Order: sequence, then C-alpha cells, then structure tokens
Amino acid sequence: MTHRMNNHTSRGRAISIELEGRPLSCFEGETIATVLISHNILTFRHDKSGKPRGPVCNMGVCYECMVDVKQPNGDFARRRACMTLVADAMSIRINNVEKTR
Amino acid sequence: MALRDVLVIGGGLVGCASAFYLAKAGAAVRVVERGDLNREASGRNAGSLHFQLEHRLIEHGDAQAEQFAQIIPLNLMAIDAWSGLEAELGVDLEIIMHGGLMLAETPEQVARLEKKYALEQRWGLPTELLDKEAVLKRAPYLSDTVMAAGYSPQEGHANPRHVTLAYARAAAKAGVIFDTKTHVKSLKRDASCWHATIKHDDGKEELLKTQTVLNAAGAWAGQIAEMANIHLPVYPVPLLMNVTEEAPPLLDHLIQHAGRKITMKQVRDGQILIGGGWSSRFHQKNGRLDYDRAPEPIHENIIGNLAVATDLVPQLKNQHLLRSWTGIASVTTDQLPILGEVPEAPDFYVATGGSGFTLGPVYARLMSELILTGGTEAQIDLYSPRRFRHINMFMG
Amino acid sequence: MIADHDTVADMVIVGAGPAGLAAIDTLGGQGLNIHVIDEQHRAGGQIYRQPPATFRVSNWMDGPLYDEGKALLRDVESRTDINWHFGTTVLGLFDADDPVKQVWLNGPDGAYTLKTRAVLIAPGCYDLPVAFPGWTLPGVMSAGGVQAFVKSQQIVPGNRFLFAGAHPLQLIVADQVLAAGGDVAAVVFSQSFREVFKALKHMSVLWRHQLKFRETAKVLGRLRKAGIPVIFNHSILNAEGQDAVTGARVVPIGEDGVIDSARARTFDCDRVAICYGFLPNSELVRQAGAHAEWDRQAGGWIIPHDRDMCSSVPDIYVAGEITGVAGAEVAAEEGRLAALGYLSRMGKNTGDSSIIQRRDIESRLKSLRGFADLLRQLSHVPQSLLDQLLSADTLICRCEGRTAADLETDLAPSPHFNTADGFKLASRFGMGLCQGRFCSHRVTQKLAQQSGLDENKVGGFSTRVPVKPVLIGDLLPK
Repeated sequence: MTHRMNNHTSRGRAISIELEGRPLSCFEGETIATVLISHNILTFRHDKSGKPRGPVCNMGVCYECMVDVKQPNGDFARRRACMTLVADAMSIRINNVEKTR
Repeated sequence: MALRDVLVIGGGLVGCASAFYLAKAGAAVRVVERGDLNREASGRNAGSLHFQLEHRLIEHGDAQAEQFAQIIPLNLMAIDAWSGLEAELGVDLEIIMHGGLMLAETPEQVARLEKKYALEQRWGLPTELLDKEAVLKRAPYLSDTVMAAGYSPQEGHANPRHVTLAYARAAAKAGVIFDTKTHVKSLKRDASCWHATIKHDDGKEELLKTQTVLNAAGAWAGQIAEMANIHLPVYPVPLLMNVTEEAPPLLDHLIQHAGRKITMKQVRDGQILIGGGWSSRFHQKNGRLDYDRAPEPIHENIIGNLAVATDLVPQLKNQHLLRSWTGIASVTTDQLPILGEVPEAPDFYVATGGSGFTLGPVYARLMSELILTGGTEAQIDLYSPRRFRHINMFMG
Repeated sequence: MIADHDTVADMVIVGAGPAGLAAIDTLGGQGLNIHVIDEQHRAGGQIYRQPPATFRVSNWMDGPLYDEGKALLRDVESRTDINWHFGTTVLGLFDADDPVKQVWLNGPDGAYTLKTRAVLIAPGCYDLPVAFPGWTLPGVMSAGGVQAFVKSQQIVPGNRFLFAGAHPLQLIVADQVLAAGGDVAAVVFSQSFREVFKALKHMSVLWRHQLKFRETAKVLGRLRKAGIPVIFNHSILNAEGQDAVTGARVVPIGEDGVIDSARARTFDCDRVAICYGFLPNSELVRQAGAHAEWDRQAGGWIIPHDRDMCSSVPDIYVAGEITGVAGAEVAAEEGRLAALGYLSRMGKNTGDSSIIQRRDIESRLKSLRGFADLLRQLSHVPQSLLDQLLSADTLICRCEGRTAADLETDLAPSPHFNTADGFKLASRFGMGLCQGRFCSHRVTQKLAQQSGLDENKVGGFSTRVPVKPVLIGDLLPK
C-alpha cells in the first residue's frame, strides 16, 4: 500500500491543503508531491495530447510534476510539486493548461 | 550551362533564400556556411513580422523619422512576400499575420504615434491609430496603462526555426550545393572572376572560381568584406531574447511599443517570445570584441525586458522564463540595410542590416533579380553600398 | 535570507551533497566568507537526503555504510560560519572569467545575485532517463526518485514496485521499499549473471571494498528470502496501463543482445522504477563556459579539471559526479581536494600537512575510482539494447512531445545539421521545461551515430540562462 511510514517516524504539525475544493490532510515538511501520492493521486498534469503525467525524478529535474499553486496575489502559477513544501491552507490545482488550450 | 555562378557566403535567411531564388532562375549556386544553417540571428531572432515604423526609427526626432520612412516600400514588398511564402515553398512556416499593435502609455508617445501614422499614410502603408478604448477592445489582455496604439493589420510573426531551413531545402532541390562547417579563408579577384579559398571541417581546403560573390554573412558581413579589401560599416550587436514555457492563449498580436524596448508575441505552440532590443554583452579577446563567442547575458536586462512585458501583459508573471539567449544582429551606421553591388569590387554583392528577418525574403528576391538582370524593378538605390564610397576610396 | 549585495564572497558552493559538505568541512574555520546553495531544504544531497526538519526519524539511514557520511553531515550542518541558501535554485553564473563573478539565484523570496571570487560546483547527478513504451505513464519513476520519497519524505510511494535497469542501486531501493512495508514485484537486470561474474573477478578491488559487497549480498539475501525475483539478462519491454501503470512486461535478452518480445511476461505492479545509471548535472558549469568532454560510461558530459579540481575557467572548481559519476565517497574526496586546491592557491594552508593531506586523498581516490570503474563495467548498458526498447511513438522529448519516429524524420535532412544545437533549433527536441535534461543524451548519441562524428563535435544542447526555468514573477522586484 502507498502509505506514510510510521514505525520510526514522527511528523510535523498536521495541516491541510486544498486541491480544487477537496481538502487533503498532510504534515508540515511534506512536499506537494508527497501529499498527492499519499492520497493516491498520481496524475499531476496532462500533456498536450491530454495524456496524464506524474512525477518521475523527485529531485527537481524532470518538470513532470508541475502543478498550479495559488500565489499570495491570488493568481495560480506552476510549481514543481516535488520541490515545493506544503503550507497550511495552500490551494493547488492539477494543471490543465495544455488541455484547455 | 548555368546562367551565372554565384558563391553565397552565409547560411542564414538571406543566404539560403537568395540561393533559392538564384537557382530557381537558373544560376549555379554554392552556399558556404561556417557553422550549421540558420544558427545565428536568422534562427535566433524572435520572428517578428513588423511593418510599422519601428520604435528605434522614430525616436530620434522628425527629420530622422522622415528619412527612415523611406524604408516603407520595402515593408510593403515584405507584406506581399510573407503572405505568399508558405504557398511558394509548400511548407508550414507558422506564419501568422493577424495584426500588430504599437503601444503608447504617455502623451509624448501618443504624439509620436500620430506623427508615425501621418508618415505611414503618406507612404501608403495601411495602418490605423487606435484610441485607448479601441486598443483594449481589440486586446483586452493589455494593461490599462495603454493610452493608444498604432495598428497594422498585416503584422504578425513567423517561426524563425523553420523559415531558413525551408528555403534551404527548396534551394537544395533546385540544385544549390551547401557546404556547412566550412569557412571562407580568402577572396581574391582577377580580371575574369573571384577566387575563393574555403576550408572544410576536416581541414581540407578548396579553391573555388566564381563569377559572383553574395556576401550574406549578416553581422559578420564586414569581416567577409575585408577579405575582398572592402570596408562595410556593419556592426554586430548582441540582442537578448526570452521565451516562456507554453502558456494558455494570452496575447493575439505582435506587441511593440512607441517608447519602451519590447516586442512580444505568442507562437502557435503557446510559448511567448519576448525581446525588443535589450542587449547582452560581447566578450573581449585581445582587447577587441569577440564576435565568435556566445555573448554574456546581462541579468539586469533579462529582468528589465520581462518587467516591461509584465507591465503590459500582467498575466505573464505567472509563466516561467524557459530560456534567454542572444542573437547577433547587424546594424549599419545609418540603420538602413546595405543592398547591392559594391562599386569598388565588381560582382561582389552585399545584403545585410535593417530588419533582417522581416525583410529577409525581400532582400533575397532583390539580390537575385539584381545579380541576374543587372537591375531591379523596385527602386533600391537608397540602400546601395554606393553610399559608403567615401570609406572605400582609399582602399587600393 | 537577505543577500548583501556589496560584499564579495570568497567561495560559493553549489550543492550541499557529499562533495559540498566535505569542501565546507575543509574550508571551515579559516575565516572565509562562504555561501552554500542547494535546491533542497536541507543539506545532504540526494544520497543523504534528510527528512524535513519537522520530522523525527529514529532509524534514518541505519547501517555501517552511511555512518561516516552521516557524521560529516551532522558536523557541517551545525556550522554557523556558513551562509546557507536552501530551497534555492542557481539560475546562472555571470562574468565567470572575471575575478569577481556573479551567481544568479532564485530563493524562497525571489531572485537575487551573489558576488564571489570563486565557485565550487558540486551539483551531483540524476537518474539516466531511459525511454520505452509507457514510460510517460504516471507511476513510472526513477529509482532515485522512489528512494528519496522513502528516505526523506518517509512514504512508500506506491503499492507494488517493479525495478528495471542495470545499476545495483535498484537492489538497495527495493530492499528499502520492502523494509518500509511496500511490495516488490521483481528486480530486473539487463546484464547476464556471467557479465557480473566477469566484472567481479577483479578480486583486489573486491577485497578493498568488501563492506559494500557484503552489504549488497545481505540485501540480495533479504530479497530472496522475501521471495522477490531478481532476474538477470532481462529488460523491461513496456509499462502498461491507461491512466497509470497497472503492469510491466519484461523480456529475455538473447545471446546476440537482441530482445525476444515473443517471450515477454507480465508483472502486475503499479510502479515501475528505472535504474540504468546516472547523468551529471553539468548544465551550470557548462553555462559558465567550462570545457566539457563526452564520456558515455562516466555519464555523458563531464568536466575536465586540474589537480586542484579547477575547471578550464579560473576559480571555478568542480567536484563529485560532474567529473564522472563515481559515487558519494569519490565526491567527498574530490570536495576536499577542491577545497585544499583553493586554499593553496589563496596562499593559505600550504604547509607540509596540506601536502600530506592531498597525497592521502589522492591515494584513497585511486582505490575508490577503481571501484567506481568496476561498478561502471558492471552496470554497463549497451546503447543497442536501449534502442531496441523504442517503438515509433515512444516519446524521446517528453516535454515537447517528440517521438522516436520524429527523431528519425527530423534527422533525415542531416546534411544541414552537424550539431545537437542546430538539430534542437530545427526540431524542438530539448526545448521544453526540462531543457533537454531528459533527451539530450540520446539526441547527441544519435546524431553522432548518424553523422559519423564524435560526440564532442556534435556537442550537447547549449546551456543558457536560466539553467532551470524560473517563474517570471519570481524574477521581478517585489
């Protein structure tokens, strides 16, 4: 099972982020990628042909895990899910830029 | 027996397109390029098709603007050339000509647009002057700091990655021989023809005899001319370009400005190309500028360029900058192109300077016509290298 | 962190992995103004990628192989004389040839620059991308990526994993996944057992590095005991699934090196982890103008250096995987060597002890590089095998959606391009967000193969600023 390892691990504060209206529970220190995968969400975006894509390298190289993250000014901008730490009440969207073009 | 043989120096847009038109008309053509085709400004510019009088041409007062307006006949020819180019070459060049806006954000800039508009009308260039409401209606994505705009319905863009190569493929079909990774080492003329020594990548040298030389070396045209013992007042300038990631549809027009350095457009795949005359910096070598090494980007200029872009289209700040690069363009001392035969060097032709991408296909057609028939239907004396006789009169 | 724009740093270290940490350890306490940049949020690099500071993990990287590295990490991380810039991406290096260079950075509060007299570039490596049908399906990851989820984020990022590749790291990651409560469908190696045996005949190397082999043997034992098939002489054929991986097909490789798709068998799994080796992060140092040389076995573009670990650009030092992928221990020794080289050039620490230190490092490096060479031989993948995995519609450039068939078609008018750069401009391969990190390796090799030119002539894609994409809003003054 996809799961958070708990036998030897204690985590930071429990917080929650929001994915297109759906709350996702998580912990301070986790990356967006970790949170999505922990909730069994593997499609992080769609490519130009509409096919799903998910994280590959988990170290900031492949740019496959780009999701829309709400910025302080209210706009959404794409960020690497594997490199971006969650913050309480963060709002994200699965990027459909290419699909809606 | 070929009508004429021509050695074209430079595998950029002007070189490849000229080779195509020359070969199609029956000339035997060989193109020599020191790198790969389309590698310098021809492939590295932002692909603007701009027909309105440019910001750089109208910012130095009325007298100069008046003089630069003389370029308009070439712009009119370019509108024709680009409109038919995909049909002519039978390939998709991502040419989009559905309008360009030159923006004004201050009363001075509006006044400048008005003068520009008057000049364009006088020379027969179809443009409009739009007030704020009309601009924002046409381009709701623009910031409301915009006060007015000049509008050219034919402006737009083409993909510089494709145009030169499409010409090269058509030229190759028409019999043109391409030597890439090949340098010209020397150019000498005797009573009958030019003798060019070229050096291939494998180190082998070859001596070519040719009736005609066309110097289409862009920013390096001055260096090539020196081999023929000629001065040409052509200066390489390192121009910065930026491209964003693929964005959702954001802007429909070619955007220029009447007072700030900016051009931008969104290409078919969604990337937004942002440039407009911000510079990079040449490296130095032995106390001289090194035109052969990739220039140093200046991050303040990257940021400056993007700041203007986001001022005008605020949504841009949510896109990633994917890449910044430098194209080495050629500027002449009087900013007009140099087109024609050099009086001191018979059968040595030059085509460089000016808006090399927008006008490239026109330069190529004119050069082919001039080389093969000795004249052109259009009046191009204004651009002849003849105007620089004073710098070549003591060159032995 | 607020950058002080008027001060010129002595040294900016890019990468807080083993090489960077060892360099800091050597440079510390000399009164130098040192800045360390890392994209991650804590020091350690990929090998010692730490859990977030808010986590407590009692068994993090247990085992004798990691004790030394962990001790170094603990020592260096607590230093207060270092200016740490975490969560910070290097966008470029300007004025690299000048005595004062500028490093362009994007941190949590946006973009800024640092001025410095010297730079040590130690950015590590990433998993070699290997294309096969289905490799863009969600659920196909790199083994390194899976491992980072386990050891840093403390999650098992899937139910049932199939590992496929040629590098022994996949055994370690499979073992970690298993220990963490995940399921492993199989571990598939493309080498034959005979090849492995042949490589292992270098007993002297074996003897000196017996700890590593003992640990690997233990891992193999645990996998066997858990009933996990470890299969040699096989390759992944494709990943299957509609919206995500639901299985993977694996095929035997014949005597002649040709895969036999008729004999494919399917494994149920929801994750495929790829582990064929590593490519150095050479973009920044190439953007700075350093000379790079092609060495396929060592990871593609690697950076030649002198005895002080200085690249062809004065005062730009390199250490770790960008000098040829060779692992954490080599990286650490090279980091120390770079630091000593820098100090001696600065006229500091030039005494006998420094000479002895350097001699010791060089002798250790000799042995470690011997092991790295062995590992490279052991995990060698012939390009002909990777080529067989492609079908016409397999994406090579994942960002721009360019396929194996496109690569052939676009290369057809090849008299017009002799360079990877010329090809990129014409074809859009490498023009997307990863900036060619996932396709340039293959494009360069393909172009070289087709043109008969050396990879050094064909070149890679030119690296330009920003060396990683950056949000325009992050660049603008706030």
